[in-house]
Amino acid sequence: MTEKEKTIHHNFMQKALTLAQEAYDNHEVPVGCIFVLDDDDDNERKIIGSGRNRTNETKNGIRHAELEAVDEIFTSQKYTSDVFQKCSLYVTVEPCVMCAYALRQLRIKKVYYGCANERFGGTGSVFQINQDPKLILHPPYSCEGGYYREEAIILLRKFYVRENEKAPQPKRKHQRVLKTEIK
Amino acid sequence: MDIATLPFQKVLSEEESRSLETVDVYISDVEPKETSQVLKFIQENCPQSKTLCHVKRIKKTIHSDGKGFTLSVLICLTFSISINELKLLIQKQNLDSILNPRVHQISKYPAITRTQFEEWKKLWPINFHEDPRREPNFTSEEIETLKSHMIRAINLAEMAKSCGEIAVGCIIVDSKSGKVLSESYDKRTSSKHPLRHATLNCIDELSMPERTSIPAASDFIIPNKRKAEDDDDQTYLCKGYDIFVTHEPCIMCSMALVHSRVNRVFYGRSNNLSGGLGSCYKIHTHEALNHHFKTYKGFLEDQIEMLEIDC
Repeated sequence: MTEKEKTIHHNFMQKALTLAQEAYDNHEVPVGCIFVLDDDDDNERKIIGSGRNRTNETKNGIRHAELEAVDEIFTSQKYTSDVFQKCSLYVTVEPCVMCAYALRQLRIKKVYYGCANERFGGTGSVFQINQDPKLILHPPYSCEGGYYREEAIILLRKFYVRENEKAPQPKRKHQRVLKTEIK
Repeated sequence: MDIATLPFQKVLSEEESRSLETVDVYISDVEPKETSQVLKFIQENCPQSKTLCHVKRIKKTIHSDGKGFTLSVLICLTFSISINELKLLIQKQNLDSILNPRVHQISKYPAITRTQFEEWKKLWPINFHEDPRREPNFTSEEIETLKSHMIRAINLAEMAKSCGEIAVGCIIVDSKSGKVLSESYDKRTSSKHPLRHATLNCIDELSMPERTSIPAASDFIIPNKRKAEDDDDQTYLCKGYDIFVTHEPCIMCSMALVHSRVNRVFYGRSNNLSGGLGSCYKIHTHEALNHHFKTYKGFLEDQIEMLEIDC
């Protein structure tokens, strides 16, 4: 990959991180993503949808950033489902098993993520839904992690350390401290 | 109700459906009066492994004529020590006249189900603590209620088919009250949205009833207004709820059910191409995931097959 190409990915991931921060500011698990329509000419890359986690707001544990962004794209009525074949996803955290198979059904071209998702990750951590050869209905896609990984981890850690003021009986999290060291 | 006559089958975990795998150990026949001496020797001299907690130390074989028996003792795993090293150890303790080790195969894993236990103990006796909650236990009345819910899901699939949609129907039911809280069907065709699967739609509609586009049931309640029983659980949408769906949920929908903390899932037809609750993956029992639920398959499958669709 050329340096120029790397910079492009970092720039897009920066935008996904801004959405993750917005999620954090709204007491949501801080995950953000954008869908980018790729074209052969670099100048033509265009963001067609974005999303961030809304599981608390909607009281619905499946309203992950990816599904929010996908629904935004369909709601806009500017694109049909074919558009995802020419799209890359930039998401701050590795997609979960649910989103990993959603992306496969959409025939996504490529996924770039920040940090791994050890609890639910569907593109390598728990399962490898994106590449599993026995899933023959939709083509596999490749997935590449590590873009602004540390920033994504710190945001998640900040979220889990913060006392959830909205909880009726807040869990005491005084003993939890923000670890800044990243292996 | 007897398990054999249930109208559905439990979808077992990898551990529950595992067939016999063996591991090699050294054993030796011993005289009954010498067993305590032998056990002391094993405890003090032989490498012991925690992976052997599920097997018994001593096997008693009753002779075929019914008169007398032979005792055999399990010494240790073969890969922890070579036979020559073991024989040297035995010689050193002057036990070569009473211990004569040979290789034997035993079950590698503990038995979880009674079927496994009955089969695997033939090799070597194993410990077995049956978990009574593991076996499905339904009364005839419960079965009738469950059937009525599944029929409702099938009706939704028929409705979907008549609307030109893929014929998959799904409902969410409160396990305790039996109330139907949400119902939906596959809407991929009309919405031109490849993710509008019945199960996902049903979860979304439970969280936002105003989105419901099909007539709501008369006993429909707004789940957002339900009383929060438990502080931590109020955000878990499907806690204590059962799902009835005509076809095995795909991997995406199966994981959505984990995220929603569903109680139980009943489905009709299996989905070999993308099923996440038994066919391609066993998401409901996967040890790495933080929520597990019981899943039953094959429920009113004949009626669903008549819908003649593939998912």
